[in-house]
Amino acid sequence: MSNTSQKHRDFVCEPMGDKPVTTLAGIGEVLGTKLEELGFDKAYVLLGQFLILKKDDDDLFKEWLKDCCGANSRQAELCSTCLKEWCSSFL
Amino acid sequence: MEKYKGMTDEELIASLKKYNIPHGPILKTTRKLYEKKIYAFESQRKRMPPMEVTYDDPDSGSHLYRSNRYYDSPAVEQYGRHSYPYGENDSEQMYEESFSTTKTYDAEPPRYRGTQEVFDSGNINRNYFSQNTYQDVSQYRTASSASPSLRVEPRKAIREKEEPQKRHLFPLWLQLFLLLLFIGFLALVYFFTQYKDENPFQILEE
Repeated sequence: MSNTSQKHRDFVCEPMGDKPVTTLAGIGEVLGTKLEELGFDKAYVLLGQFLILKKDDDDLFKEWLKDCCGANSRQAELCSTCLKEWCSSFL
Repeated sequence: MEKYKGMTDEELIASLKKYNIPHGPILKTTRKLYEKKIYAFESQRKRMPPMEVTYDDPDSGSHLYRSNRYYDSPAVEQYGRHSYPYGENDSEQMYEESFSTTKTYDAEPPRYRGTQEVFDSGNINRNYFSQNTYQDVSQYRTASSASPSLRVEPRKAIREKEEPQKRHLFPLWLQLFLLLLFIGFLALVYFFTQYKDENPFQILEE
């Protein structure tokens, strides 16, 4: 990935710790609020869902994200890429 | 869609395995997703042309589907009409059959179009799969053996390039003809106007 957003690079460069879910690339304020209502308040909770869906194997995670909080394809793609890259460095 | 709500997690997993849909654990947050996947898969299968033989594969505890509420959909009806001759040793075969997580499960898996013989033994079934998943090279070999002068048949592209002629809306000769016609028309107009204004200073000279 050559053209990634600053948000993506910020998230991927270090362990996520207790960062809120909105620090993930592709998750803005609107999606973040929806996810928090669903209980996904921290980035690591969303990471858990990501891992349960097999690191977005077969686009499961992206579909789930679109379903549960109405993310569009681009947002889902950004978030999935972000988490995937984070996993490849820190998991 | 509603019928999946009543299914237990085990039933859902069994059907996911049966359709070769890659899946993870079924939890409260993931269940709806997998329900949708199965629904999409089944509705797609119903739209396909009628099969001569519904597949009768021995895997994945299909006896769960014999509960009568699934008989209302036509696809399942076909499926349920088959007798279920396999005994308790199915669970071993289930792991044999469902290990592959092909990602092309929604692109018409070839097994539904197979004949009864294909499904009779698991080995042939797998061969059938591999031949369809990858390009079959063996047929080119037999072709080359027919003509001994060619020792090695060059590999062919899976998808042959389309002929460039298809890009033209009209055939080439018609285009050229129209072009010539247009040029002739322009030349005619040009000479016609030239003839009239042969001498622009004619009026002044008079």
